[in-house]
Amino acid sequence: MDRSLLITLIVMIALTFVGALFSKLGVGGLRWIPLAIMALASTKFILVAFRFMELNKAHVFWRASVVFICVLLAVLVGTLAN
Amino acid sequence: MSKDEALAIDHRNIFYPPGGILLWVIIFVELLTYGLGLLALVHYGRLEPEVFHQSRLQLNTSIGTFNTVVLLTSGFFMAMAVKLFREGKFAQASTYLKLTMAGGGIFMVFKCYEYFEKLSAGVALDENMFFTLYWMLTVFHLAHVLVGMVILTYFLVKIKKAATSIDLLDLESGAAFWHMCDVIWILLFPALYLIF
Repeated sequence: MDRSLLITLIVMIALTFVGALFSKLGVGGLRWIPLAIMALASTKFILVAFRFMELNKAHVFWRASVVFICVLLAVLVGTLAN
Repeated sequence: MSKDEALAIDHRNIFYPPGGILLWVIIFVELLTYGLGLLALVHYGRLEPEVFHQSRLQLNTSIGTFNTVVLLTSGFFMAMAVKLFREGKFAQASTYLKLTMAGGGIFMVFKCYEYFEKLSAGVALDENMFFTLYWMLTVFHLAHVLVGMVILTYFLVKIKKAATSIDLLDLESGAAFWHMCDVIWILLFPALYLIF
């Protein structure tokens, strides 16, 4: 079993639970919670793209485009959801 | 394309991203489509914050979280299958393909259970704007998972019959499609289940 892929998976599962936990905190109306949750989601997105889809081996155009779209969506959704 | 030729591809070349350029164009189109869906979700969420909050609370976050873990794990199995196939360990690659599909199957079963729960409670597409978008986005995503399962079934059958005849680039493209389902769900899950 590939150790680095396994570590990536464990990190992503941990981030999933942290996101769900943040959501419970958000019941009190903390405005930064949606943005924090989307930031965690975008981290998982980038990990899947770069580790599982092997985008780390790709041309900088593809790497930059994926990071740009992912961060843009996370920021827009996380900010506008407030 | 032979396995050696596929292994010799320089992915740093802009025209040869891992999985193939066609698949990445599809991935970007899908991201754009789902991105617009998510922006519509937050737009309407701003217009009706209380409706969206109450609707979000009706969703089963435990099932959503479990399904996220299942999809991530199946993505890990898929990455392992490609790695082992490249190394010529076809029997092990086949096992990981089966595990990947098992993950997809579990995801679909739990999603269908969630749909059954909602429909039994009378929560359909026309309930309110939150649920209109919930049904549209998640059913569309489920259809992608189903297509991914068909693609994986094709590779599983082929790897059993004649593993060496499988084009590595084709397998990488199939894997990229499966991971695309992963990344889309990674965005859908928090937007629908957590942030409102």
